[in-house]
Amino acid sequence: MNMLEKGKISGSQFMWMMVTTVLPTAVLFIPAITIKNAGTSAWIESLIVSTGWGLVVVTICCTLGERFQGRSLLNYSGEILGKPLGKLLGLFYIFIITYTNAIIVREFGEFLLSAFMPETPILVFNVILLLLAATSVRNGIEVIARMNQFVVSLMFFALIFIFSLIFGEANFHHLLPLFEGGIKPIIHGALTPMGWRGEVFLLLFMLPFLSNHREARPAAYKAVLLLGLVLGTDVLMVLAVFGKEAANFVFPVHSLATYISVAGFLERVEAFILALWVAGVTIKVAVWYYCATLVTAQTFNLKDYKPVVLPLGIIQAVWSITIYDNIREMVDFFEKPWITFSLFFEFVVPTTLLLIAVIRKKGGRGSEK
Amino acid sequence: MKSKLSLLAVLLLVFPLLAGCWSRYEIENLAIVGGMGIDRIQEDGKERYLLTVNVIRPGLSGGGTEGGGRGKPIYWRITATGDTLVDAEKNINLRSPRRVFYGHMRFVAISEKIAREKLPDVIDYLSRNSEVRLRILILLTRERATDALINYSELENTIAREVTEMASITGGIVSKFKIWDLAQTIDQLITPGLDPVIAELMTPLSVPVEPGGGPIRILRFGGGGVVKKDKLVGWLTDGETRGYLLGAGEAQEAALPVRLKNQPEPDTNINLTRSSRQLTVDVEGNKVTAKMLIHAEGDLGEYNGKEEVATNEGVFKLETKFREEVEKEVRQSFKKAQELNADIFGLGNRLHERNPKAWKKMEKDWYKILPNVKLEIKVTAHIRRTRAISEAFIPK
Repeated sequence: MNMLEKGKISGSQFMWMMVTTVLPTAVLFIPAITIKNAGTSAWIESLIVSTGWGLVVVTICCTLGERFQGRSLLNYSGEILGKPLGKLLGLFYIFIITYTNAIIVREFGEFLLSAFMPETPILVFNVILLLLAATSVRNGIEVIARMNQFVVSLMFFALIFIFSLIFGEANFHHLLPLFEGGIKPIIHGALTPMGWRGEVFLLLFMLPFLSNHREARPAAYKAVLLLGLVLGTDVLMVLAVFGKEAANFVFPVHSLATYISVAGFLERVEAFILALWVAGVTIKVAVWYYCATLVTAQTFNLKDYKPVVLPLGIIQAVWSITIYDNIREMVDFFEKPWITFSLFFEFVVPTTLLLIAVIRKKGGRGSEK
Repeated sequence: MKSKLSLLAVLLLVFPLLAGCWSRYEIENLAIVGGMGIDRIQEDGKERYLLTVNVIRPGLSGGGTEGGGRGKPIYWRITATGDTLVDAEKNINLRSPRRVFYGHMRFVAISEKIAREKLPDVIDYLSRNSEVRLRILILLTRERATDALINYSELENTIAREVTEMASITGGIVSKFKIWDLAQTIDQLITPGLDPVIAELMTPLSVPVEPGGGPIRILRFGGGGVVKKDKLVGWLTDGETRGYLLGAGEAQEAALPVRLKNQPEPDTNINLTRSSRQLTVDVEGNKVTAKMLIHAEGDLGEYNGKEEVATNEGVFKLETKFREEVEKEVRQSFKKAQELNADIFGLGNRLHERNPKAWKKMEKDWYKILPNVKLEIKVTAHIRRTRAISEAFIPK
C-alpha cells in the first residue's frame, strides 16, 4: 500500500482541524437559518440537537475507521464493497467533496461582497482563496494542521472578543417563551445545522495520518462538543441581542459585531469578523480541498496527489462562480436540498459501509496486518 | 535558475495586490453624512420622497477656534427627491462632488406623514443599506423632518453629535423621552404585543439670537410617537412619556412635582433617582389583569412647606405622596395608551413570554382585549435622603 502522504498529525492538531472544518462558515450562516425555523428555541437546537447529531456521525465514522486502522476510506472501500463499487464510491466522494468545497468558496466570496466590498468581482476573492488553499494542500497535511493551530487561536480570540463586548446588549427576555411550539420547530430548525455539524465526517480521510490512533475518538468527540458550545453561544448571543429580528439578517454575527459600541468609542470592530472569516475559511477550504485531491489520487491509484491539485482548483473556482445565480439561491439550497444531500454523504454512506463491513466480517481486529 | 525565475514570477504576481483594496473609498472623496431627514412632499402632482442629509464640511469641523472660519456653516444640507428612497439617495449625488457616505450617520428623523403611511419602507431602506449602522437613532418629527437638520449646532461640533449625546446622556436625566436605535426599533416593531414609543424631535422657533435678527430653529426632545404595528397612531406629551417610561421600567432620573398642602400649585419636588418595574399579566377566563410592581427611589429636591419634613414622619408623608404621584403618572399614560389602543407597555409580549398558551388564544383579538385590561399598580417608593440640607431655612 503506497502512502500518498508521509506527514503525521497529533491528536490535538486533529481535533482543532475538525473544529475548523465546521466552524468558520457555520458561525456566520447558521444563526439566521436556525432562528428563522426554530424561533426562540434556536439556541437549544444549536447547543443540544446538532451537537448530538455530530456525536452520532463521529461515532459511526470512528467505528468504521477503527475497523480498518491506519487506512483511508478509499483503501478499504474496495474491500467492503468489492472493487468496482469501491471505485464508484471514490468517484462519488470526489464529486461530493469538490462540490461542497465550491459551495464553501462561494460562501466566502458572498460574505465579503455583501458586507465589505460590494464592487469587487467575486472571482477575485474566490481565486485568491483557492490559490492560498492550493499552496497549503501541496505542502501536505502537516502544514495545514500547524497553520490551523495558529488560525484557531485567531478565530477564538475574535469570537470571544465579539461575544464579551456585546454581552451588555443582551436581553435574555428574547429567549422567552422557552420551547415555544414544542419540539417541532426545534427539529425543523435543526435540519440545516445538522448537515453542517456532520461535516466532521471528513475524519474518515484523515484518521490514517494520526500519529497515535487511540487519540482519534476522544479528539473527535472533543471537537464536536467544543463546536456545540461555540455555535450554541453564537446562536444564543445573536438571539439575545436581536431577538427574532436576527432571522432577517443575512449574516447575524456580522450585524452583531457592527452593533458593538463600548462607551461610545470602541466601535466598528467588524474587522475581527474578517480575521475569523478569511483565516478560518482558508483553512476550511484547504482541508476540504486536501481531502478531494487525496480521494482523487486514491481512486485513480496515482503515486502522488500533487498533479491533481491545480486541475481540481480550477474546477472549484469555476464551479464556485456558476453554482448559484444569487445569494438567496444559495441560502435556499442550504434550507432544502442540502439537508438530504448532506445527510446522504455524511451519514447514510458511512453507516451503510459500516453495516456491510460488519455483515461481511471485513476489517476489525482479525484483519489487522 | 528555475527557482529564481519562479520567485520573480511570484513577486510580480504580488504587485497588483499591493495597490490596495478594490472597493476602497478614499476619505477625501467622501461626503460624510451626519444625519438624515425623510419627508414626503408633493412634486409635479405626485407624492415623492424628500431626502435631506447633513454633510459635514471638512476642515470646518476641527473645533471652535476655526469653526465657521470662512463664514460657512459647519454643515452642508443637501436635499433631493425621488420616487423611492434609494432613488432619492442616488439623486443626492446630483449635487455632491463627493461620494455621499452613510457609514457615520448618527440619526434619522422621520416626518409624521411618513410615520403614518410609509414606516415599513423606511425601516427596510435603512436596514438593507449595509453602510448604515444598526446604532443610528430613530426619531420622529411632527413638522418637516428637513427642518430638523439645521445648519449649525449649539454646543457640540455637529448636530449629529448633539443628538447622540442627548440620547445617551441627557435622556436619562429628565426621563421625558427615550431614544431607540434602529435595531431596538425594529425589534419592538416586530414583537407581537409590544408597540414602541419613538422619541419626538421638535424643531421650535427660538427667540432671536441677535437683537433685530429673526427667530431661528432649535432642536428639542420630548414626548414620543406611538407606533402601532407599522403606523404612527398618536403622540404622547412630555408628561405622558414620563409615565410610560416609569411603567416600562425605563425611567431613570426625573423631577416629580407634588403638592403636600391643599393648594393648586405644587409646593414640593421629589427627585426620582432610580426606578425598576416588574410586570405580570394574569388571565382568568376572558379577564386580563396587568400587575405592575414599581420600585422607585428618590430624594427631596425642593420643599417649601411649614411642617417639619426632615423627620421620620415627614419622610413617611413624602413617600406616600411619592407613591401616589408615580401611580398617577403611570395610570395617566396607561389610559392614554388604551385610548390609542396601543400596547406601549408590552403587556401582550409579557403574556407571550410567560403564558404562551393563553397568548396564542388571544393574539388575534389582542387589540379588542386591550382596552378592557385592568391595571393594578403597586409602588414601593423610598425617599432615602434630603440632599444637602434638612429643613427649609425659611419655612413658608
